[in-house]
Amino acid sequence: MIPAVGLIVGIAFGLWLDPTVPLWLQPYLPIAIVAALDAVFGAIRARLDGIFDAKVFVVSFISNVIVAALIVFIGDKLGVGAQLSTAVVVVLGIRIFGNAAAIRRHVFRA
Amino acid sequence: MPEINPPARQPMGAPYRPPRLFGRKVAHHGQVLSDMSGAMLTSLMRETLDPGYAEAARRRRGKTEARSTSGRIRALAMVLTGVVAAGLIVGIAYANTTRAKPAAERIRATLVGRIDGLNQSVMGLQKQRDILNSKVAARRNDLLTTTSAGSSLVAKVTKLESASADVAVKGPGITIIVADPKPKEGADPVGGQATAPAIDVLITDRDLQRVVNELWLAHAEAIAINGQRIGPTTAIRLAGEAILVDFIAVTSPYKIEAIGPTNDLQTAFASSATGRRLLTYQSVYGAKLTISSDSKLNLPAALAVPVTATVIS
Repeated sequence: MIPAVGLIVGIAFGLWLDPTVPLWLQPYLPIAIVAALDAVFGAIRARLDGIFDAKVFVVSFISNVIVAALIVFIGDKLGVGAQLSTAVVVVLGIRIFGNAAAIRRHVFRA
Repeated sequence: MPEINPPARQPMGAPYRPPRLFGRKVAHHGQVLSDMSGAMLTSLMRETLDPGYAEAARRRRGKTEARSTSGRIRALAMVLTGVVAAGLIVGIAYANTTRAKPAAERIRATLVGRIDGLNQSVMGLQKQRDILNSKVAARRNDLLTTTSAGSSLVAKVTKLESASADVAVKGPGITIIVADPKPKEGADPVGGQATAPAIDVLITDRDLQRVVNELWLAHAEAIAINGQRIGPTTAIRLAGEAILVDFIAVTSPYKIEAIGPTNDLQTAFASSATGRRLLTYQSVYGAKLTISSDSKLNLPAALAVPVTATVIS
């Protein structure tokens, strides 16, 4: 309940602040979103599995976002930024999908 | 669902090691292959949850005592930090994406506004030029008609003006309408119809050039295509799929108006090679061709329509 409120507060704050993201940071925004979504879905699933751990959540969240951004950054420098972005999105996308399926099984028992 | 609990044979308290999946060698038809990629894909599909959670749960199981209040608060604070950060990222990204689009549209609207303004001023200048031209012509005629030699000059000038398409003319003549064949109803190439696709662009610049030349040959005095007067320097040419008359695009159906001796024009055109060619187009490909005489045609001066830009969708 409290985490859900926190998420909504975060979104509202981001919309309200509306900071201008510098141009060099913009390519990493979608990747950061996917990484954040992966961490959030993983946390919900872990909670439903009964093995949730706050430290693991925060550390995995931050490291996911940073590593994803780093991969894309290195890819950009090597000239394969688009391909590495695709790789990150595919891997995280599969994980989000799997976690969403597990959450669905927990909630609907189907 | 991935296995969360460690195998029972492992002693409690020992760190949980996930089964070794990567780099395992498998014997396949007597060959030893590396199962690296297959195992990687399998683990990617099956282990969607961060293994850290399972490990943390295992570690916790060792110590059975309940967690302290300060520990709970700290955990909640950590979760809140992470969740608010995730929300922030999503919110900022949303705000940035929605702001970027109107900016592009604003620039486009500004450019369209400038184009419209310049179009208007071109139109105004064109109108002013026409008025001044007619004033100059009237003054010139006034001056010249005072003498008999001047009067003959005026007649000559008037003739030349109409020949060079400098002035608007009116009079009897013929109207020829040529149009590309209509594409068949429902003749969608995606629909999988067995019939060959209809030719939708049949009339080219060559055809219009031939028609115009045929009409000049039959003593036409003034010709216009879709309201574009043909002057001595007018070019009819193809650019992509559009036919340009004096750099202004005209589209099918093409309405060719010619002022001149009506009967001569009609018979000469109908018996000419160009007329027969267009008749063949009509009977074979279904192109449209109509020839009619008109007692009163109004043809503008050449380039009466200024070159202006239009916004594409």
